[in-house]
Amino acid sequence: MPGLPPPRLTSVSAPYWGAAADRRLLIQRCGDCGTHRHPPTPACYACGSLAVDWDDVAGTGRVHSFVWTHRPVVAIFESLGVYNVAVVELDGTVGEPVRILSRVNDIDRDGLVVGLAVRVDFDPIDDEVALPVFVPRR
Amino acid sequence: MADPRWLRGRAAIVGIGSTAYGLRGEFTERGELSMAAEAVYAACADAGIAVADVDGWSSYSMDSTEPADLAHAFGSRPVRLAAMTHGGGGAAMGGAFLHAAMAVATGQVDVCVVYRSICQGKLRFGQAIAKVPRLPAAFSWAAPYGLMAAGQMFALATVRHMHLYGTTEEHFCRIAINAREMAANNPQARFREPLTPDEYLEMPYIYEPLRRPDICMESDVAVAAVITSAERAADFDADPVYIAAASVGAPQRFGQGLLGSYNMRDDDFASAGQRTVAADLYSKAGLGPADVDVAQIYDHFSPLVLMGLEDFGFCEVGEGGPFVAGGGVGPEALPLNTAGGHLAEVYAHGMTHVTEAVRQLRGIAVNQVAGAEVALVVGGAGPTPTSALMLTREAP
Repeated sequence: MPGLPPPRLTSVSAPYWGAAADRRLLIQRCGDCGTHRHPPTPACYACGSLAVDWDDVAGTGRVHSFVWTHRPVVAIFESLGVYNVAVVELDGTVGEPVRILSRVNDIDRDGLVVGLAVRVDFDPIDDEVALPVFVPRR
Repeated sequence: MADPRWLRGRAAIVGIGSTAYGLRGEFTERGELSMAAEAVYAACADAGIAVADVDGWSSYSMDSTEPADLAHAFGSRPVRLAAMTHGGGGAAMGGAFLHAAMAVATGQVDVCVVYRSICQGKLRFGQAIAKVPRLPAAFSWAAPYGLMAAGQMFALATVRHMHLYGTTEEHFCRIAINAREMAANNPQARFREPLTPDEYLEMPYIYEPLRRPDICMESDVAVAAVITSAERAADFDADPVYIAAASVGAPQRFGQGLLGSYNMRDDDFASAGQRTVAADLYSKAGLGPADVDVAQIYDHFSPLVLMGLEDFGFCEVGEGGPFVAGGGVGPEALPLNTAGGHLAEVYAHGMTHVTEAVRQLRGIAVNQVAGAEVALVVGGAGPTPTSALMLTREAP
């Protein structure tokens, strides 16, 4: 959606956003014990290792929670109308559940419910970066 | 290992003070340092001392006013403590009191001031994020999707709580209505008009399911408190209020919690993140929820008070809604946020919850709870760490 600030890429997050531009959902995984984690961090919460790996995940999951914003605090959002932000819990990860803050596209207010099955899609920002988003899995 | 209960009752609050409660932006020109100075001056006057007598300083939330500037301005005694508890908003409020209590009880400091000074008119939280040339890395996971306001973030926990436990808007509007009822008697409070459930339900959503009365209003305000050891407490003008316990903390992997990680453990997602703080506080104070005569629970967003009541054991997890709908809070049950709280009095990052608890235990509050002996004060839900205080009228 135009007008929203792009993500700031850091050494630890750049692989995530860059993969999204190639329509891949890349999630950090411990290089030693294989536990997934998000947002990216410098260490593994399960075993303490500093070894970082990345994993292409299927990108299916379920809506964990969501919010519809009716009155945005920032003027540039006013063009968006009533919009949602959603937390999606991914299927098939190792360790405690991995959740991504994102949005669900192609949905109305009645359709967006906790537990809704979704799959990842990608909204390009430019040639280098895209936002992972989700759409209903039908 | 040393006993964490050793600190129980060894420090006391002997002075409170604040500036006038300003609307967001009202004191922008004046600035935080000038406001902090006025609040510290007022708290010391309440204690019957000069600010020059202060040798310890403690704050939180990366307060922009440094102890250096206050001690320099007032010609205070040599500084022996300049403590900062990290963590956003008013979550870490209790940490400033924990540092102060430890310092005075162990003789590191004679008189310590806890202070917080905020001018929220410069930029609202979400606008501030949107206007920076380069987005802070921590917000890169949220802002590109339009998640920038704290209300949106806390609505995520609220929707999950509604899904898991059947909590409704009628449940959490009781918190907003209680705030208005308490504020009605408080001439300093911002929102003193009564509110009915029907009026509430007719209001438009801002961050669905949150409406205007569910959301605190940003303010310009400074508040301070004077802390000294229990041995020294009788030397001051005001009746001392004892710190039975002060705790900071958060569950494992809570991280920035509702302000940005969303990867806390499943049980903690639809909570105030305060269960570890509650257990720590009750253990150290030797007191439990049944002992609390009056509660001041951080009310930046009304549903989070339901979750705080659950986390602090006033009802079972998931039962916060039915608990308040069944009359669990109020003057005849658990008196809550008795000056109007952040929803209706002023938004002061938890400090006005402390000053109201002190007034209740001194017996001078606008909605005085008869015979109040024990007050619980709970800091903001959201990030790591959150915090709480247990205060008592008598030395425990």
